[in-house]
Amino acid sequence: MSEEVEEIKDKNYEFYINADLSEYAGKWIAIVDGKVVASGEDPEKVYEEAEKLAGGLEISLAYVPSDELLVL
Amino acid sequence: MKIVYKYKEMPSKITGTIKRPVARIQMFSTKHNKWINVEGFLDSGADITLIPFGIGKILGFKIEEDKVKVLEGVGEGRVSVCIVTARIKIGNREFNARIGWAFDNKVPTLIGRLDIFDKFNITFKEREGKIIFEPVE
Repeated sequence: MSEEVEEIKDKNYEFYINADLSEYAGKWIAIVDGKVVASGEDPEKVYEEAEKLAGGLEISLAYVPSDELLVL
Repeated sequence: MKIVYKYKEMPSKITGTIKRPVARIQMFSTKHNKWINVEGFLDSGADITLIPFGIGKILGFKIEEDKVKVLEGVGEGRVSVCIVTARIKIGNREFNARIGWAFDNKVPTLIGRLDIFDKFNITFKEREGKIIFEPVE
């Protein structure tokens, strides 16, 4: 019996996983079409800026932790 | 259908590098009337999911005074939140979950256990850099 497994293929997700985002440390980023289109400390403002630039494409929001953060 | 997510390697002043499990979570925005994509860190030790203030604003949440709580973490760690119910989608599984909406933007989205981990069998394959979500019927 074959098992159905779906590896997430989303371009924005893959970008977040693989990219060096250290220049955005401590900030929220919006990713559209595999590129960072907006960044800042307030994810709402970042999303609003990205909406203007996305041209209807999917937007992903992600946080880039500083190198001093450990999640406990 | 099982869904496979991945770990992201990040620099750390404390450990050199650190690998964090990242899952795509979608949350429904009543303000924008659409699903919002967020890449969140899976936190199996967290009792409840945490989102920053700005994400809650995008989703259209309103502060209800009687639902404002202080969550205590390890040591002296505390974060003030409003407990809200979010419509969430992971893969093609859609459900409601109680989450903590933090009054702070300097927190990542942390995907905790309450109302989420009971919907899936979640396997962390740290060495392979994969996390597998298997929906539970």
